[in-house]
Amino acid sequence: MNRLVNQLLHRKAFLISLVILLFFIFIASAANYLTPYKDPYTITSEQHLAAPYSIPIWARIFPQYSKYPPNTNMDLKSPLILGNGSESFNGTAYTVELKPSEYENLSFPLSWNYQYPYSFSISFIAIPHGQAAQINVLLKQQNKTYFLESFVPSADQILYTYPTCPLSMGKTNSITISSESLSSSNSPYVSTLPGNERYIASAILPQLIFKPGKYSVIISIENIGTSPLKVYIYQPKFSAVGRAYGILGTDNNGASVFAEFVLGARFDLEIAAIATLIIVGIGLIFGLVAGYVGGKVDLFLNALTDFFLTIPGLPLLITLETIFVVSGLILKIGIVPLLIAIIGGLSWMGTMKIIRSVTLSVRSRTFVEASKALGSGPFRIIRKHVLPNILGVVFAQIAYDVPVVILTESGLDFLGLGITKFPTWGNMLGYASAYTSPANGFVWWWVLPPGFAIIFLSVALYFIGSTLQDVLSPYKVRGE
Amino acid sequence: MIEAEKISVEFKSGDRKINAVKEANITIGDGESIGLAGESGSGKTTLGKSLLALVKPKEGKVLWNGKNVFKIKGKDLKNFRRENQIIYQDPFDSIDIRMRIYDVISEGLTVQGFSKQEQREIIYSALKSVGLNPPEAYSNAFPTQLSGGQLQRVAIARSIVLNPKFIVADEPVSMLDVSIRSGILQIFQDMKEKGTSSLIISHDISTLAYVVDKIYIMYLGHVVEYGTTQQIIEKPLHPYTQALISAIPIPEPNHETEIKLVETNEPVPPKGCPLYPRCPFRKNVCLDNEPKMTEVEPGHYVSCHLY
Repeated sequence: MNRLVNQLLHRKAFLISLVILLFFIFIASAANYLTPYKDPYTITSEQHLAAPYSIPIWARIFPQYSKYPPNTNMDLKSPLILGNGSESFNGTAYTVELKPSEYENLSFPLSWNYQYPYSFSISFIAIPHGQAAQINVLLKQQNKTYFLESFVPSADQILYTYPTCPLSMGKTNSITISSESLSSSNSPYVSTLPGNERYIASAILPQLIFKPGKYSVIISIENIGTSPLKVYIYQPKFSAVGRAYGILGTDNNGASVFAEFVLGARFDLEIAAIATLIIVGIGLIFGLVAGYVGGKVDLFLNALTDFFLTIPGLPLLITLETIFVVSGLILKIGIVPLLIAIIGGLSWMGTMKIIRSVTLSVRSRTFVEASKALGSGPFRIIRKHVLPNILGVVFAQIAYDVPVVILTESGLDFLGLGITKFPTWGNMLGYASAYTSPANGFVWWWVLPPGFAIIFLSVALYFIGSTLQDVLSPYKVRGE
Repeated sequence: MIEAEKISVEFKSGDRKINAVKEANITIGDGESIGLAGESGSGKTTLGKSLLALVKPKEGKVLWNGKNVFKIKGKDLKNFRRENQIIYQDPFDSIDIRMRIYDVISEGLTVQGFSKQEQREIIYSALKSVGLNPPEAYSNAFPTQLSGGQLQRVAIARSIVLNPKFIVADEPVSMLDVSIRSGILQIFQDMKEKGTSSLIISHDISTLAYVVDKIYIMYLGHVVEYGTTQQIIEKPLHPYTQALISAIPIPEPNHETEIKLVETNEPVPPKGCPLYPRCPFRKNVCLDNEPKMTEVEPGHYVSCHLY
């Protein structure tokens, strides 16, 4: 045993492959801890985490992405106060007291070092006490001022030539100004834009307003009534949905690609493990029986295998898929067990042929006959002599069949015939390729991880398989 | 006691059929040591294996205490296997190199239902009796760590632990160095003294003469002559036997081999004597009639038209 481990550990290809395999096994088994998301394809709350096609955070080391903003969420603090009223701050709330026609501006500094975000919002809670108040929200950069929204009591709205929003006096007003909800009917700034821009304002506002520089968010309060006014302002906040997100960015829905990747890894390894067990199970039993028993049994099993080999796999897979899954008519089977059954049932032939051939060669060796001469029955001979001698090949087959399953399954998913409802590497590639364009940088952070994962895993397993075959096969030990 | 009656073995390879053994008769009595000699490809090994039901003949039967060995099953078969053993020519191939020596030898005992304690004693004493001392050191080794001679001793130990009554030894010393041959042959002598009967297969008639009581000569699947060792060595009758005997190198200058077989590409006649193309004494009758086994002197049989 020690000698075996020693031999294995002395092979660099095996070690590297093992590290790769263990990495994938780790991210698959720790998927629940690595990502809080369960299924970014169907659960809408797991989408729109950032802008669609957000780049990975770390990609900002590349110059063309260096100014991409991440998700930003900040409390607005330490305002510059301008005006002729009086104001106080008790740690949580700003209290502004104004006599008639007085005004007060709370100007919160905001330093923005990035390009425009996907969207932004400014929120605060205002409680105005008095007869009538106007609360304006503006964004200012140097000499440019963007008059985002204006709040006045509904009775006074008619007095203004620009669009305003209603304000309830004496009550708590939860005010949220988000770029997506601004339009020419509620925003003075949008209503001043040229016609074509006005209609798509919600999408282009961040681009129109934000560029790297110093901004200030101004909450301007004016007493437009005839009696004194007291306004409380709580929790002013600025948030922006960024265009750089997480380890692997986002897809077209703004869902985390990293979450999809690890969930896909978990699913792919699971399906590969189960289907490989089926493949090697069928292949081993048929191969051993055919090779050891020989004669008519061999002829029959070999013919059966040849029959399965002549079946064109992909068209049959597609047909069975359509009958069982897409139509949903005949049987109510989950798509996953069905995929496992179809892939397992159509991929065991190569393994059977190989196991059969090595069994044939071991069977004809003298020690098998010697064991028979000692009185051993066929089961004992298979267990004690044949199996140990073909063990290397069996392990190699396990390692070789895993990539076969992953590739087949990914192929089906890529074509949209397999699993579409939850993330797998195959359908990640499929969806990604559907949304690829130069405009989104060919979504490389979405295409490359599953693609490389499939390649690396397959190559790693190939090397592990051939090393195991080498080390576990007894004939090599003698140096023949 | 084992008796083969008109055994014919045929091997098929695609369309080609090879008759490895043709209507061979052989009888091994209790305690008898029999030699089987002949050139390569004459069917010695095949005949030996069919005696142990390891090769299935096309025709004929092998009787073991009156039972046809190809038909016995279950308990009878197990007893048959225990009492009749084989030692192979190539110890490198006849021992599974994945097993330790101890497990190699214990396999037969396990199959035959010996307990673990019994096995230990039997295995150690068997290792000692084949000259692998100390047995504790050898029993834990792997076959790859042993030399060919040591491995052949292991193979012999594996056969004798079952205390068989009959052993087929298929060229037991041909793979071994000359220096260790006599040691192995001594083991056979010892077994013979214990009353174990054996069939020793060899192409080397001088080695056989050293251990066996009776010698059977085979040529192209046919048994052509048999008799006691003395009869065969001193008075070979069949031209083929004479050629075999005269081919034994004699350390004497100017010694001439008396009989030489003709070297030819002539095909073997379908009906006649198999030696016909090569026989220096051939007659017309040899071409069409296969000679019958005739007793020339008591216990000495030959199938040749000369007698």
